[in-house]
This record gives sequence, C-alpha cells and structure tokens, in this order.
Amino acid sequence: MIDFSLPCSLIAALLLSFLLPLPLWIATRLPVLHERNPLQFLIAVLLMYGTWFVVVTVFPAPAPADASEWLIGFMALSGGAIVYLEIWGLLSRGYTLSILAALYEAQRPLTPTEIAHAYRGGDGLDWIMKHRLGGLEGSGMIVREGDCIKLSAPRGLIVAWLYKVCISILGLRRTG
Amino acid sequence: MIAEGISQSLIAFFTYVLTILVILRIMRKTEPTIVVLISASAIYGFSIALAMVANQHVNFWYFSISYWFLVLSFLLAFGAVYKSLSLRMLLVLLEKPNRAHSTQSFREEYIFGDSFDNRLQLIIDQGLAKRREQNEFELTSRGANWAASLVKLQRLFGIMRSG
Repeated sequence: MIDFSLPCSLIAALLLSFLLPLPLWIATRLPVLHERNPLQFLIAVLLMYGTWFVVVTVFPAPAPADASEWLIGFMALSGGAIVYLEIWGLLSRGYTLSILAALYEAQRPLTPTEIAHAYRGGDGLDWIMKHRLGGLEGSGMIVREGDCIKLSAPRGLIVAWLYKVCISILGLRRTG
Repeated sequence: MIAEGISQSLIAFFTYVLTILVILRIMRKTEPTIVVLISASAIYGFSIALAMVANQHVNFWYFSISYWFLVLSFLLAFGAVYKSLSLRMLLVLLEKPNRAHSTQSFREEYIFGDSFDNRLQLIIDQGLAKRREQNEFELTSRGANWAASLVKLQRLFGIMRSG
C-alpha cells in the first residue's frame, strides 16, 4: 500500500530545495561575490537551510514531529542542493562544456590547437593545468621539485591509492 | 513510519549499488553515466512496484526523499571518480617512476593529449560536433543548440568564464 501523506515540514523543505536557484541568482548579482562561483553556491545553500530552519521552528504548523522527520527534511534539502551542485559544477567548471562553448563562440570550425587556444574565453588550455595543479598543490597532494611535480607523501599518495581502489571497485576503464 | 521509509530506501540503495557494480562490468561498451542513471530510476520504480505487489506499507515521500538523497550522494562521488581531472592527475603521477613527472611532459601527454582528446571524442560520440577535413571540428545543429543554451544559462548566473 502506497501512502502519499506528507507533513508540512517536508513540503517546506521540498519547496525550498526546488527554489534554490533563486538565492543562487541573487548571490551571483552581489558585487562582493563576483566570479567566486563556489562561494556563491555555498551562501545560497546556507540560506536555504537557514530559511527552512526558521520556517519550521517559528511557525507551529510545519514543525517536525521527531528527529527522523528532521532527518528526512535535511535529506530533502541536501538532495536538491546536490542536484543543483552538479548543474552548477558543470556550468562553472565543466571541461567538455567549455570546449563546446569555445566552438560556439568562435562561430566557425576550429582545429584542436585553435580550440585549446580559445578555451575559457581565450585563457587557453594551459589555464586548466595551472588551475588544477594549483588546487592540488594548495591542498598538499602534490609538491613541485624544480621542473617536476611529485605526489606528496602521505596525503597525495593515500588519495591517489584510494582513487585507484574506487576505480577498480566500480570497474571503470577510463576516467578523467 | 519515517524510520520504516528510511530502512526501505537503504535496502533499495544497496540493491542499486550492487546492481551497478555488476552492470558496469558486463556492459563495458555502454557509457557508465548512462548505466548509473538508468539503474537508479529502474531500481526506484521496481522498489515501488514491489511494495505495491507485496501489499507492503510504504510512504511514497519518505521512501523517495531518502532513496534519492542516498543515490544523489553516491552519484556525486561517482562523478568525481569518473570525471575529475584533478584526481586523474594524481593517478597519472602514481603510475610514474618515483611518482614524479616533468611539468612540460605532463602538459603535453595528459592535458593536451589524453584528456583533451577524450573530450573531443566525447562530443563527437554524443553527436554534438563533427570532424571535418583538415582535422577541424564543427558543431552540429544539436551541438549549437546545446552550446547556445549553455552560454545563455551561464550569462543568467553571471558565469563569464568556465572550465
């Protein structure tokens, strides 16, 4: 028997997670957050959680009945956040989509070399190497030694091994 | 009732994980992203149908919310493993002698070679672009529509450059 009853706290959570693009759009318009895509998303998500918390604690009708209802509400909000995070990640960091955008903005056929140069509005493909290596270096996964980059021990080594194990468990042939 | 919904969704989720571990090994030629997405929907529909046939009590919303939360969390991690450039860079280094590589060779072999070529091949396989004479790439009408929508959406959210 399928039961379709839904408490008010979950209606509020589902509605707020569906409307996440609204605070996100507002966050993108704030000059202080200009071109800071991860921070824009984080602020929008915190605003979503905060609004739900205020709604369910201030108004008596949508108050969760017990801890498990709080948990389900958190899952509804987080599920919505993950969906939009995936979309946001593709829009702001998508490698393949950026290649498509480079081809579209050129308005003519391009060779692979020309695509590499036109990538990210003319920053070129070297930008992606600098950006990703900078991130790995900043998080202590790699170290630079002269002209070489090297996996750091133990952090980089552990993450790389865990990554290899995950690929093996999932049975993926190609990644990255 | 909620705890019941969560435990039912946990069973469905573990069934989903086991299913994709098997299917990813059997259907080697199918795009893994398609496998994980179709399997998630199929297991969800199957679980609901099974509950109806077995006349078992299921709260649709509790089950759906907790099941999709678990699946989406898994897909987030799966996406990182399958497509993350940074993690792949770590793996490339792991497989090199001394776990080190020259920056220039890394750039040529991986960034301008393997990874970039894979992406170009992917947009051709997806029918978004086609390869012309003299190794030029041109968007198909489908690819141009996709790219136009992408650029519009990026502009709407103030994303001026991505990658």
